[in-house]
Order: sequence, then C-alpha cells, then structure tokens
Amino acid sequence: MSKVSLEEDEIKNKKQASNWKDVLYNELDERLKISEIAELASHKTVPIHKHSIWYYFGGISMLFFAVQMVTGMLLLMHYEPGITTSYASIQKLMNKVEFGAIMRSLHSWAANFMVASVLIHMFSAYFMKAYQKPRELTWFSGAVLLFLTITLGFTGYLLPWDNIAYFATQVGLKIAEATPWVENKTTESWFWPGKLISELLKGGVSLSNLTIQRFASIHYVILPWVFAAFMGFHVLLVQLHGNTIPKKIKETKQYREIPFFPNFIYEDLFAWLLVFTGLSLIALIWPWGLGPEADPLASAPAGIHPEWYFMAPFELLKWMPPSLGPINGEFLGIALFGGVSLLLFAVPLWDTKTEGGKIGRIATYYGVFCLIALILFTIFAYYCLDENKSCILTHDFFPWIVRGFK
Amino acid sequence: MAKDKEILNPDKPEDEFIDSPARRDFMTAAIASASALYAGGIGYIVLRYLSSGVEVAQDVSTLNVKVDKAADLANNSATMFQFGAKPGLLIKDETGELHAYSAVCKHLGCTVAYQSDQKRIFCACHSGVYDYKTGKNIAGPPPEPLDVLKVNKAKDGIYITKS
Repeated sequence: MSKVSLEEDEIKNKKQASNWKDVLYNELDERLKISEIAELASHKTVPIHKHSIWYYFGGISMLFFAVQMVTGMLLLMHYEPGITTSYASIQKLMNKVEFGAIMRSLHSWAANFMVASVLIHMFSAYFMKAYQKPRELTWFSGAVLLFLTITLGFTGYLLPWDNIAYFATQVGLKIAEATPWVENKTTESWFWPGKLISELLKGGVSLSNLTIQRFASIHYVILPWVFAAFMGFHVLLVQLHGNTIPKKIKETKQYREIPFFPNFIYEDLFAWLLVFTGLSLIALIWPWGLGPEADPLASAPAGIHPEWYFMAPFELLKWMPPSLGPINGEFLGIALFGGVSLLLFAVPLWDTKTEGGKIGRIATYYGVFCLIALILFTIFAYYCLDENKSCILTHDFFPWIVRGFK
Repeated sequence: MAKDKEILNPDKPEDEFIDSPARRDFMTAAIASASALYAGGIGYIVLRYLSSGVEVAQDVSTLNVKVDKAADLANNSATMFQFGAKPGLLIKDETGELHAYSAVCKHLGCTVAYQSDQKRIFCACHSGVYDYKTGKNIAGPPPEPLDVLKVNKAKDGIYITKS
C-alpha cells in the first residue's frame, strides 16, 4: 500500500467533522495528540475502598496551592513591600479596596488549610505505606513540598509588617541562629551556619527594609516556582505509579476500580467545589485580622505565639533546659525535633519490605508516635499560653524539666 | 453488612447509569449555568477588587497651578510643571512673552520639550514638531495641536489654568 492511500484511509477513518466542536477537536488532535492522551487516560483507574477518602487530600492540597497563586497575584496588585509601605498598603487593602479584606482573608485561611491538608496527605500516605518501592521519590518530593509549604507560610507571615508578624519572624530567625554544634561564646571564630542564614535572610543584623524585600522575593518570586516544579514532578509520579492500595484491602480484594477519567476527576472537582465554598464562607465569616504596626522598640505582647503548625516545636523548645552539659538547650530542642522528623521522612530507606513484618509494624508505630506527639505538644502549647493557668503538665508532672534536669 | 460486601465486590459492574437525552441536556444546562454563576461571581469580585483604590483622572477644569520657576525663567527658555496628573510646558519666548501647553504629545503621548536653539517644540519619540508660539502641529506625525493652557499673572507669581 502506498503512502498516499494510507493517508487517504486515515482521513476516511477520521470522525466526520459535522460541527465546529469536531472540527476544533480534529485540528487540535492533529497537533497535540489529544486522542493518544485520552487513550492513556481511559485505562487509568482509581481504587475505591473504605480508606479511599484519603486519596482526595493530594488534590485538595493542589487546590489550595492554586487558590494561593491566584489570591497571591491579586494581593500583589495592591501590596507595596517596604518598611514604610507594607503596613500602610495592607491597611488600605483592608479598608479602602473593594473586596480587599476578603482577598487577604482567603489567602491567609487557605495558607493554614493548605498546611493542614498537606499534613493529612502526608500522614495518610505514611499509614498506607505509599512510600515503598517504586514510590520512594514520590514520598521524598512530597516531603520537600511539605517543607516548602511551611517555608511559604513563614516568609508570608512577615509581609504585612504588623506586630505579631514582626515577633514571629524575629523568633523564627532566632531559632535558625541556634544551630551551631556546641554553645560557643566567641561566635566569630566559628563557622556558624544558622547565624549566616539568618543574617542573609535579614540582609543585616536586624529586621529592616531589606528583610521585607528578601522575604517578599522568596515568598512570591522564588518559592512558587520551586513549589510548582516539585508539584509537577510529584503529580507526574503519582500518575505513573497510580494510587497505593493498603495491603490488607489488596489481599482481601475489598475494593473496586473506577476510571480516573472522567469518574474520579468529577469526584475531585466536586470535592474542590465543596472545599472552596467552605473556605470562602470561613474567610467571610471570620475575616483575617491585622494587628498594630510593627514597632522595633515595643516589647513583645503577652501570650504571643506562632501559627498552629509551629506550636509543637515552640512548646518543645520551652521544655528544653538552658543547656545540657556543653550542648545549648535550644539546639538540643531543634536537634530533637529535626531528628524525629528526619527519621519520619527517611522512612522509605528503612521500611523497605513490602510484605510487612516487624520493621513494617515498627514504621506504623513510629508514625502513630509522631502524630500523637505532634497533636499532644500542640495541645500543651495552647494550654500553656494562658499565663494565669499554671502549666500543670510541665510544672506538676515533669518538674525535672522545669528545673533543667538538675 | 451484606450491603457493604455488595459495594466492595470487585466483580460487580459499574452502576448502570440511567441515561436519557432530556436528562442529559438538563444536567448539562444546569451544571453550565451553575458554573457560569460561580465564575461570574468570582470574576465580578476580582474586577471590583482590581479597579478600586486606583488613581482616577483629576478634574483639571478648576485647577490653578502656581509655577514657582517662572520667576527665574530667562528669555528663550522653558520649564516643566505638574498640571494635574500630566506634565505641562511653560515657555518664555525671546520677547519675554509666556506660553503654556500640556506637554503631552498628540501623537502617542510622549512628553515634548522646547528646543531653544531651533525655537520649536519637539517630541523625541517620533520627531513631532509644534510651533512654540501657538502649539500648532507643524511637522511629523502629530495629528493636532498641543492643548493650550492659560497663563495668569498674579502679584505673587505665575498661575496656570485650563484655557
């Protein structure tokens, strides 16, 4: 058969372009190979079982990222970074710009929900053992995305330049500064990575105009691109490997498969609609506030505390003695929190046996331990905020911690 | 319990979808209009958000601008001044007479300048030329004369208003 007749055959077989939609489809298909992608998508399925609700949280996290991108870009249309302009522009945004307060409220609420959603997604992936071969890279890229989410939260916090933002950033950077290896009074003689990072971020020794500019450029120029790249990689891997089915459910065959497209996509869309509507209602009913303007000479207000997702490490740091032997107490706290987290994120490296067994069970227990510790420390932290309440747990049950292990 | 088993049976085919053209058309229209409403609502909010708080054109009809530099202006020279949101050009010709124009070129909106050596108003963007005594467009692409402003001499200085 000659080449010409082959092409003629192809034309004959093509869908009869009867209306403009078919014409458009055919034209695009010839260039973008839509039908090949559709063919691939038609074979993809998603398992449905009693734990499949957790599959939605990846998509919901992605929705929150999209909301952050859109509202963030819109906020930038009015926001002016700078020590004299940041606060004033946010104030104007809240009071003068139509729907400005809602836009900011959406951005702040979505930021918090995004952290929550990413955490839920992470722990559900952990307990479904979605990190095991061949999904190790999916897990690691997810860990990076969690870190980026929290960093986005931290850098965005400073931008309105209100009182609470000022002190939260001050404390956050102080924690970064406390990461030398051993407490050392003559700091200049040491290579001190924490201090270096902190001063690079601040653009000097104190929070200044440069700090706002640097945080702003990290928050809305650098990190969104990095995040989008990692998210693209993460989602691509999920598409390649499909969803993990928990071992027990797979063994007992207590699941069925539904097509990814359109069934699961429609369900995802419906979940997004619900979540976005819920987010909008919350942002409307409880608009995000703005504290008094940051004043470098004012003292920290009573009961000041970080956002909820930093409360657990915040509480852990309060529990630390000033020093333990030669080791700085703050560094000890950071090392403890960092070490426990690192072991959690490194789980694909030490829980490798897909058939389960002793290590598999240890991994699950370790996850439960981390989750409970995170929740308990967060609860303690909020409980101990009230100065009038003696912090029973630490003072009465663990007095040796208060005394500094003496 | 029996129901659970039924749902989770992997061999059970997809639930039969009760499909009829009328139902399908209705659902399509309903979802399309709900989506349009949703998107329209968000679009409206975004539009209002973007259009508020921005600078609006100032009413120049009542504007009376004092040009402080006019006092020291030598003959055959010019100075720029702010007239509302736009730049203005005040020229003192060789006889000492004052001429004021809006300095916005009528071609594509660049700011024009007085060239004392050639005694003309020139726009560097596309080489538009205006007469310095009348503001009339005399060469190049400008389609019409510059807006002429009124020069008022008061005891304490020179004031410019819309003519």
